[in-house]
Amino acid sequence: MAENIIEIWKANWRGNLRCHALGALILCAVTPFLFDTRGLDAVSTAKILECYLILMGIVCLVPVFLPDQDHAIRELLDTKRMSPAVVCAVRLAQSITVLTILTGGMLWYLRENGCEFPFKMYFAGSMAGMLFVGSIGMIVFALTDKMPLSYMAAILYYVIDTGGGKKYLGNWYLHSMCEESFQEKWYLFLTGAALIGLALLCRTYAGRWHFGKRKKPSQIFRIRAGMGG
Amino acid sequence: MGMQLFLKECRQNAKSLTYLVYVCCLILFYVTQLGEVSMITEPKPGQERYGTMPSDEESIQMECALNELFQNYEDNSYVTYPLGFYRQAALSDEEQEYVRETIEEVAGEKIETLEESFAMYQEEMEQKMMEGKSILELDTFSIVPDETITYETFLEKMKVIDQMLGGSSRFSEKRIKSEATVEMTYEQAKEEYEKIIEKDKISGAYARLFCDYFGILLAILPVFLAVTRAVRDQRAKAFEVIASKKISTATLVLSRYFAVTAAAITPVIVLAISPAMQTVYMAKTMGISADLWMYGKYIGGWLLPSALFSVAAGFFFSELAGGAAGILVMVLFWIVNLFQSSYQLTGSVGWNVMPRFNSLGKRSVFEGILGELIQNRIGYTIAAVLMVAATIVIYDRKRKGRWKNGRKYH
Repeated sequence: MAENIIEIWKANWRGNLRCHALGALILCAVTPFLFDTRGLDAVSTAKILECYLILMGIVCLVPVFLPDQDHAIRELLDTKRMSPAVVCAVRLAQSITVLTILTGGMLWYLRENGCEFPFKMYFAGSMAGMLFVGSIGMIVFALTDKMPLSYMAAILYYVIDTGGGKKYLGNWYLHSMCEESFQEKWYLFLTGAALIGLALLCRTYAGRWHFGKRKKPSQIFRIRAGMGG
Repeated sequence: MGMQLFLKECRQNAKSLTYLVYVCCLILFYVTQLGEVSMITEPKPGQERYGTMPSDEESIQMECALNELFQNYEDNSYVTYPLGFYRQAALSDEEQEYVRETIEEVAGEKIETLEESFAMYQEEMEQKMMEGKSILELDTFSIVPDETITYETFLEKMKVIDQMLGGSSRFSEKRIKSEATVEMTYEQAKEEYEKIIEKDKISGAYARLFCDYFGILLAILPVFLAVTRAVRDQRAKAFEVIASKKISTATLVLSRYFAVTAAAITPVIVLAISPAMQTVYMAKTMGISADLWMYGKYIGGWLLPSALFSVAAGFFFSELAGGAAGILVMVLFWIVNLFQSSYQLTGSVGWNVMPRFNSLGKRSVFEGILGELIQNRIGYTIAAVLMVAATIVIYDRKRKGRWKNGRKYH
């Protein structure tokens, strides 16, 4: 089991996450050119994290289901003894690891640049926000099996949040740290975790429920009776 | 064959779930942001304020720049535009000291005196707001430059500060001259109103606001349609079949490109019909002959290049590096442009993919930026053409088996 997980980890990094991690790294690297990162106070630091770096959540989490877009690969995975949920969970863990490293690295860089802010609270708050926006993309991907739509859903939430803000979204407002409030981060974290769980569930049982694939009743009977499709 | 393929592509686009979500987003955006628009009314004598307008007067330019420098000094947050993109920068203690000395020299007063005056102004403003009075009754806080400081001396001092900020700041000569504004008098407001009647025919003023709002969406949403189309062949495992067909790569790519662009812009045109008819009716009630095609002209010249660019970027980066790359690159580009335009919601063009004009009327401001706007739109159209051409080249190489994930294979 452990060997399989390591193999999944390596294969996912090589074939899928590596490019997205590079995109997230570029997002971080470009930050000093877009914003002044010297000597910022807590609110200004929060703006950079919540208005800009939160996009890393979309970049790193939405691709968890990307390798399964090919239905042949998905059906092959469904035939294996290892549950597809374990495969996706390993990919998810890898994405969260990348997010953790990049977020921690950015916060460390900001602190070294003289920015003053509560490190642990900002780290937790940033991760909660990234998890939430990423989970929106994941659940849409799991339900619709369409990659562009999953990115679109996550981006649209971000746009609505930037435009409408707290008025429409209440406790699911992404920019609460800019207003020195951390309570909303709990809502984001718990909702994000729930959506990710739901997405993994959909992905695990999509094959068994023939999710997205319509079969005639006679075909379903023949499959259950072991008579072939 | 090209036309047949174009129509087939249009039908396929219309049936996709992504397109349905796209149209719903546009409708929702229209209803929430443009559902209620205020009427343009003729200015009346004796109003508290008539709005602001750009100014060419040297004294006004000096005053505006000095006031902004003072505000920036207080916050230690200065606006710069490296590579045309908006950025806020902070200065070191030594640099702040130089700015302080400059302000004192230009204003002819100590910084502490200015800070006290500003604090008193803020208290007065809060007092008036608590009494329920309008803050429009209060004059805007202003620091007037000392009479002994000439315009040239002032520009030289601002140049030093501009260089400290890395150049291209608000205190560059170009921006000092272009961003000075002054309160309009009744006569100026009346002249502005006459321009809206004669040149805009009322419709133009509303069309600019329409383009401002929809420009934000059209700079990003069409990329999702483009990527959806670009990855469809891969998902259907149809690439090899398509590659073997007689049709030229240019015809194939261009028919898809124009189909997606048509799909992206058509809902916007349909949504523009209602406000266009409303402005025609409004003009008729005011006894003016309206231009029914004004919205069409603005959509074609202002919004279409954004859609062309967004779709072209989606196709190009999808073919170059995969479907997600098209989305991620364009989203990052869009976010940067969104931040850039947030500092100035009216008359902000530069090289922004979504030029902003979040005001009703302001024909003078529009005439001032028109040249820059035309340059911007032509630039993005050319960029779109180049990306489509590059897409054709990449796709053709893939069809010939000389491009697969960046590796050559035979």
